[in-house]
Amino acid sequence: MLELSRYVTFGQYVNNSSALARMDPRVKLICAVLLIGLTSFLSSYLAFALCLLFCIVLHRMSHLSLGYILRSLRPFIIFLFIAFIFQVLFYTPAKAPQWLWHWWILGISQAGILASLLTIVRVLFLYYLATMLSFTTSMVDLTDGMESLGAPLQKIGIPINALIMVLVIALKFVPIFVTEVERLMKAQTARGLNFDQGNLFQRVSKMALLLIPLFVSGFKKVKVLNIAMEARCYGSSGGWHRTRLRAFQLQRFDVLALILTILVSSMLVIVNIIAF
Amino acid sequence: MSNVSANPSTARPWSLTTERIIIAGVLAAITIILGVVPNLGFIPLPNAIGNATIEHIPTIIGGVIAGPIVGLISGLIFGVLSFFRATEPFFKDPTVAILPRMFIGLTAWATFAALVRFNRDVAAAAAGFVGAATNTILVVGALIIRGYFPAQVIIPVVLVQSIIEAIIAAIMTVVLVRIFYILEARLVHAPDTKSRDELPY
Repeated sequence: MLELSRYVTFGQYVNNSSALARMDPRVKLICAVLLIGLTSFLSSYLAFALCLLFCIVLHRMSHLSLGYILRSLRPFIIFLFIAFIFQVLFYTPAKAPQWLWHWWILGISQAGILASLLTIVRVLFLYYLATMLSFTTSMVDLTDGMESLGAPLQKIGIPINALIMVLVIALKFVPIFVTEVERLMKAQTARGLNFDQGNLFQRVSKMALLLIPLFVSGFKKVKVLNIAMEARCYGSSGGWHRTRLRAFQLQRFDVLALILTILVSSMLVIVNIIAF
Repeated sequence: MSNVSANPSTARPWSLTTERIIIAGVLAAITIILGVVPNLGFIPLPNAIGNATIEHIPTIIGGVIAGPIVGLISGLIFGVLSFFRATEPFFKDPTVAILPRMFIGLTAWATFAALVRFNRDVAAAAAGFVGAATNTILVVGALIIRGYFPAQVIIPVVLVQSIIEAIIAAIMTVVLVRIFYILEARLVHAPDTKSRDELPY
């Protein structure tokens, strides 16, 4: 419990130099956003079957073991199952269905089971795609990719560079704060405090013993970092332009992957419309 | 160029100074810490779901001390984080995980800005309460609208929990906002309420 820095792993990036891991982060982001957006609006089993086919190809390219990804899903299986049961029981169709079993507002119908199953399938696909993105992309690549994709937004006045800066600062501060929390916990434990005991109010006040010093040190670090950054002329005035350490270059594979994803997405949309 | 000593809570509300960027970053880091350190980000409750979260408190603080734009950004990051490390598959849906969270900081800032001229502590408590309530109402609303849970099931389940969460958020916001203003005034301890002669030390 007290060796926090050992347990706290941030980001699940697996650098196995597979094609998917080496892909340009900009292209990977576009593809992931496209696919995630698409999956959350697909509404037919046929489209999801095609999507599964595409995911199998994707998975072959990632060289990750399927068990490794599915293992992270294991804690939610029961949760998903309970949600599925509730959805079936409370399903309220537009027109009068053929009930298999019906009592008061509860009921089981074939349409209800099909619709609920579709929701579960969609959730699983969303989970898979988002997990895949975080498994194959490091945090630095992700922020760099977002920054260069957001460049047009910066032009029309949305502060995307500031947003990326916020993310970078946050990621750099996490290890510092982890050490700090670890020290605070050890200090309080040495004084005989047990964090796992007590009623609600006692727990809240124990939590405050950790949270308040954490925020105080955070506010102090804000002051110091602010002066350091201002002294190095950080800021965005008119005509200022920041350059990056690493420049991205599109490879042939990236272009092919992008075209393939767009083709698959448009195909899925067409299939979805036809099947509906 | 922004000036170094500008108080982030008194500069123009929608402008993005360097200090505001850093505040948003540090608060986002605290949000991450609350999420990943076991037992820190939530308080076990004796009910069905079990845990009252305090992960939205940094977002509320961001809205209160540094204006709406920081509230918006920390809300966005809170949402993106909970999207990427969601434990329930429903939160892998961006309309549930990200969109509702962007409003936490905004409502907290609006409440604080409206009430601060009467009393700062009351304003902070109200902002904490409203921010936590925004989180619960919008996320549960999104879950219902997206059809993951029917309304009859989820509302009784989360009601008690959300009230406790809101009360915890209100108390913590008062304390943390006070701390921020103490540090902002460059004091090394809380200001004395009695005169020097009456103090016990």
